[in-house]
Amino acid sequence: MVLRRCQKLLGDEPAARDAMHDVFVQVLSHADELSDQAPSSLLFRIATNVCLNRIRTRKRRPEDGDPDLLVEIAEHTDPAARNAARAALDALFRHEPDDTALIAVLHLHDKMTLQEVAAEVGMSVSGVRKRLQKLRTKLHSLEAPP
Amino acid sequence: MTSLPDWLVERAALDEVPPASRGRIERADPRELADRVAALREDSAAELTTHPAGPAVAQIEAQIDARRAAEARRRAERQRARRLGWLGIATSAAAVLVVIRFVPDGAATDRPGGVEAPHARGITHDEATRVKGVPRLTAFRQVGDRAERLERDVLVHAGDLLQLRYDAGGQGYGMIASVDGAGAVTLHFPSSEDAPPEATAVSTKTTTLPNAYALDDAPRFERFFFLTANEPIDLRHSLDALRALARRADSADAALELPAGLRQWSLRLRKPGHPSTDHESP
Repeated sequence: MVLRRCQKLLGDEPAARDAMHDVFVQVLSHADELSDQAPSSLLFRIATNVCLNRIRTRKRRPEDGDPDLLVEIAEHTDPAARNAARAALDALFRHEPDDTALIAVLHLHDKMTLQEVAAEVGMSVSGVRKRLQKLRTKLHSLEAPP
Repeated sequence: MTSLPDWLVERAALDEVPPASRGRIERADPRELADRVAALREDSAAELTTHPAGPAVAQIEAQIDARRAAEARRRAERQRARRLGWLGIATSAAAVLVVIRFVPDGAATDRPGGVEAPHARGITHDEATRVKGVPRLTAFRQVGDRAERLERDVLVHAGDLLQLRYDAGGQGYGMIASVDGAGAVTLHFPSSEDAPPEATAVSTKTTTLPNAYALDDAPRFERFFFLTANEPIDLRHSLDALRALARRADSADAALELPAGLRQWSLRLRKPGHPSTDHESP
């Protein structure tokens, strides 16, 4: 499951295997603090964060190109502004805390409902809704012509 | 009827469907769900056949052991530093008592504390810092078929191809990252921010990073930081500090707040839109 998740987000087999390795190192390093409830949810969340960190880190290395994940998210916002969204999303995620990016990925990329996202990240549904609304507002303001 | 997303099929395959998603599972086409669960299980079995878990588990356990050993070393070092701090205070206090006790009253009044203070500071300084040289980071820009060395506050542009080189100045561990005018923090060494602290081990020789990279169109400046230490560096804490700096309005000039034990060298390059060519201090 972890490997498939990493492959889907990173789109690269060696990078996905490397990320999977990191996920288990992170999980097992804190094994004493973990509960045994729904370990797949924890692994999924950690794998998502590890992959998002890797996408951020590699984003400006010339050999990597644009991450498809961000483009996919862009396509769910405003079809009329997809080209602008590609650049805008890059700027958008730079300024957001990590969990906002996670929330956006879970909802827009993974098609989780607001309730599912809230359960996944341990927030209220209204808290998740506000974060996504803020993200959309910010995105549209970034896309708006100067 | 809509198709279930992959993550939910994964949960179903593990019998860990969260309460908030049970309705979606109940509304799904049972045959499609069963086929997809079977396909996932087949994929997992094939993966375990081609990549047995044993070697990966051993590798992961070794990495965790190394991480815990490094953490224990850091804890011991912190305790040692605290003890030395108290020893320094105790030595100073004892020396003051000796001076007051044995030096004639007039001499003690003329040179208050002038005998013992340097000695006490010397113990703490020598033990805690072990300075051997000055860590340094150098940036180069590709211009045609040659590399141009970039001095601080030189003007660079989006698309410029940069290469970084470091000299750790005798320190054993380091990390290199940059902050730009758009508030982005980019890690250049080690290659991943999920890397364990041991991955911050640096070469004792002047070393060029394996990857060059192109500057993007972030405005105003690109500011590089080379952080060094005698102990493995916790990347997460250091990146948090860099991100806190990046969020500040004065991130082009503000000091980077770091935990004790870390040294920093910084180099700022100007980009279009930067108002000044002011200093940058190491």
